[in-house]
Amino acid sequence: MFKALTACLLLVLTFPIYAKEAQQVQVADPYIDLRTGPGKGYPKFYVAEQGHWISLLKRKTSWFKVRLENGTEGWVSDKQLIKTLTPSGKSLDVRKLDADSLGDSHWGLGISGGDFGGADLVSLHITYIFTENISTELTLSQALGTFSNNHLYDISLQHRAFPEWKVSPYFTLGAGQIRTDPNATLVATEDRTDDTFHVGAGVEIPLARRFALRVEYRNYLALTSRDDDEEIEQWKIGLNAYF
Amino acid sequence: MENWFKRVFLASALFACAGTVAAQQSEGGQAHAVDPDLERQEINIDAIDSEDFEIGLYYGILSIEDFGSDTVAGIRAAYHVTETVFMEAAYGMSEAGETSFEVLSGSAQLLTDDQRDFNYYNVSVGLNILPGETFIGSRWAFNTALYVIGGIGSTEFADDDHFTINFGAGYRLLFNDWLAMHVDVRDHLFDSDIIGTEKTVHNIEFTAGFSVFF
Repeated sequence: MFKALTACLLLVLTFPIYAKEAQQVQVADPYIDLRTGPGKGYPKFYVAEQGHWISLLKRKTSWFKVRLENGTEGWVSDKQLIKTLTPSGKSLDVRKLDADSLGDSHWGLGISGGDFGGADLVSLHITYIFTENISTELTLSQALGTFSNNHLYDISLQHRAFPEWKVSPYFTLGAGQIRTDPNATLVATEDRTDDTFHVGAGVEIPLARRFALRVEYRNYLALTSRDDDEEIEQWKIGLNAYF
Repeated sequence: MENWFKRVFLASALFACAGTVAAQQSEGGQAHAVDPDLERQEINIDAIDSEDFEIGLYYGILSIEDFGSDTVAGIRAAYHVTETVFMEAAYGMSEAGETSFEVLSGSAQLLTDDQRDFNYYNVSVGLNILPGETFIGSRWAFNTALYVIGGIGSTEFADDDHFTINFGAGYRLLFNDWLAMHVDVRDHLFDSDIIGTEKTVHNIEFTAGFSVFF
């Protein structure tokens, strides 16, 4: 266990090593504001004047921590950073961070809740984006019903037919497993695990930079060991972030 | 306890690895985006270190309805989407005490020791509503935020999993850019029939903890 802890600590501690020498930009507008923290609510405490060079140190959400030549450090919004020039004289390209679209994101993280054949559903998923049309998703869900609880593990492939649309519909197809645990208060029946297939469709509505509301329907087919396979409908609503 | 530690460290290792992969991903992207013939000093926004992920441990008191109060320990991981919104996943462990009925009757036991384990996980969305600064003496100023948070999850108690809604508020104080302290009050609600009749139980939790941004 100690080894695991050490490995974990090392992993976390080596992160700053990836950080490169700070990149510098030049203030092009009459001035830009520096705030004490990464948010609109934090007060402005300094201004960097036109012509000054500022080093970009790090980013938190859409705020950049910068250092001026005199050593002053503060936070600048991406909107203000557009008003700076790169060493080659071009204006800084921060559009990617502002875009409603997924931009250069490759990973997504989502949480959702809903209904799985009458049971309450809690769900967490990780998305990997291959292209703007195709992505794959690993979903872990738990459905909590009156008589039984289900754990679902799914891997699915998604296709976005119209990635350029602001509200983007998608289709999903995948397979996985479902584990059914009957509730303790019932007469003891055995836990069972079945393979599943699902098809579904959903829509994503952007809320903020790389952040979307998602509504999804899936139709599950559980290949049970009983005489009949079981069809289960799932509805869920959730939030998705891309990074 | 051993099991709990394993879970905590496996989860942190998992998140750390996910972060590394994401970092390599962005560096890979950069390699393609930058034409080697161009000036070396061109700015690449993606190469700037971002600190939007947070992982932390917490410890506190959980009041389990009808079963007294006990300590609770947990792990939380969050992704900060914007300056206002963050998503959080948490896993906490506690153990229920005895109901007053069990205490007064002397020997009657409603639950076995194993059934008294109270473990929960949840996924929540938080909103930083009151950002600000706290001043300690004349030299120190720390960024703070008050946040409200709510979500859904599952609680494993008395051999059953219960669909659980949680909501609450917390206070985050950042010692520097990457180290924060949290104080959090949360209510975990679920329907339970453990003591005979079905009812909605409230389990109020008060915790404090530390987290790192990466």
